Amino acid sequence: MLQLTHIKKAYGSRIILHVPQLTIPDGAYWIKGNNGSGKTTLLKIVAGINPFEGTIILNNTDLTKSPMAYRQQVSFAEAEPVFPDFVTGWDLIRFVQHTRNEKEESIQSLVDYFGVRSFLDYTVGTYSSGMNKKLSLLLAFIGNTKLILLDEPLITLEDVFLSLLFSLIKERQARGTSFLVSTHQPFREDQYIPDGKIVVKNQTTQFVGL
Amino acid sequence: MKAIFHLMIKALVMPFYKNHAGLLVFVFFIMFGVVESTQIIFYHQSLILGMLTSGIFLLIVLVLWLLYQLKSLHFLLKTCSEDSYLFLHHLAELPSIRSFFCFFTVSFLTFLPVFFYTIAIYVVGIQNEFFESMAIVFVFQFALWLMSAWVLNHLLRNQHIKARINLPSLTLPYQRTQLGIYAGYLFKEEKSAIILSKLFSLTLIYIIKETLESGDDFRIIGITWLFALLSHTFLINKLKSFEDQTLSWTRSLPISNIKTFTTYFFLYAMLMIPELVLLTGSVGQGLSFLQLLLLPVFSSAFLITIHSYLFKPNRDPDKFVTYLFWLFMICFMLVLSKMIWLVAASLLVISFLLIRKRFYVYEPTDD
Repeated sequence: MLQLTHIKKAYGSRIILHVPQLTIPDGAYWIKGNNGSGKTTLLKIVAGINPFEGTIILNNTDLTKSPMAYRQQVSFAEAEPVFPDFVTGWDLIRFVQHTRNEKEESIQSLVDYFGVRSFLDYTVGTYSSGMNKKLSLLLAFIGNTKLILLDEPLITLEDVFLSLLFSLIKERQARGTSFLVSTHQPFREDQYIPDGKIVVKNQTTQFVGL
Repeated sequence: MKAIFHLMIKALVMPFYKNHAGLLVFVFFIMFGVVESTQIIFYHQSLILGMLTSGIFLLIVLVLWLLYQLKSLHFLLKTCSEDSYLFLHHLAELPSIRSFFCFFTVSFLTFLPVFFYTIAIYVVGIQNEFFESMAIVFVFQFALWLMSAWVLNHLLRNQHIKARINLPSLTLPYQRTQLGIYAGYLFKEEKSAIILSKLFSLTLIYIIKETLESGDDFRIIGITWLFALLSHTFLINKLKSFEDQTLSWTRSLPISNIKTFTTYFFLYAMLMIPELVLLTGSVGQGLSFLQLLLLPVFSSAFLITIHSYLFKPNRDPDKFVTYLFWLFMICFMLVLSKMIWLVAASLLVISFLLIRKRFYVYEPTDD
């Protein structure tokens, strides 16, 4: 369970996000909102990337009080991932594998599942935006994190891959992982139905059913 | 045209001075800080007269100016090639002579600190009627600005042509750790910047090494080392930008502050290995083995302290120069007071506390 209390993010006097209270049960949720409503900010705050005011607790672990323990439970894939140009895909995978202490078998099976093996030996600077996106999603699935945050995972990817991604989300959800997925596109019923919806509007959030 | 100049100054000239604040403080100190205030005019008059009358001295000065201009050109080329500077392509829509003039102005403005000193050279030259040497100085400087402007303008207008000169790349065998990624950035993406910094610092260390004799005071090396470190400070700004732009996602990974700090420590110690190797021959001549080992620790402490400052939330980028100046002065005084151990240990503790406090409350800004 993820609990957000008195979350506030502002640049000077401009408030970007204000969430007085939000409790999100385990499950997979669609973060919905217009451009500039604060979806990415919300995800980055929950990922521990952006500083904020307030309290975030995931399964009794407070992000501010136990930052390491919290980060061991959360992973994040950016909407438009940017990696150093000179490293290879394998370099990044090994880096995250090492920090998340993931087994080699799981890595190999993820690489095959994502179908990215053919380009992992090349440097990231040579990747297309779709390849970058797949790599970023793969990195988010490394380790046994309890919450995976996916920011606009549906953009720049081919349809066939989307079906694979949704299957993986379902599989990981069955193993106890929760998801927060931000996207502008509505989910197709034949592909995936999330457990609920969090609407980000006017710089605040509202938890609603589908 | 006024709007273009305004933007060019903001986008190219100001970042140049911010990034090279360390080097400029270093040169300023060398030129004006080492002489007693009562002697300063006489000292510079003698210096300028020596330059205008001795061919060799003049040649050395011209080579130093050339190095400075190459450093500035390198910075401008790197900056222009960044994705966020794609807007500069619009300059290619102007007639070539106009875009050339824009870059000429930028080249001149990055040369301003030298040009101000050149005014003093002209004054002394006119007083003493050294018109030939003055003409050489004028033509040389003008040629430097023209060269930079031509290179920048040519590259802007010919981006579709593959570069003919490529520096060999140092491929690191292990880029799968934090340290490997940072080192990879410095040695692959910033190799020309590293070469230029090393040229400055190794020359400085070499000169001191050659003059050292048995029984000389360690403070001579300590202070020289501090100056050598200053010539690397602009790399910290580059490293921080690299962190902000491509590694912000790693902040969601479970990496402890101690590990991050250790990464910075080894990275900055590693950066000074060439200077350290050069100094190994001086063990026993004003330098003990223990003192030799202290130098990389001092390097890391000094450079991480600068790095930790860049994590300050909502910091005013213009205050960086002031911070650098005072940090340098404090270190200079403490090294002079034979307290290099104390300054190294204190800076390590302070920088660790700062990184621990600031790492997760810092958010990259657009400056």
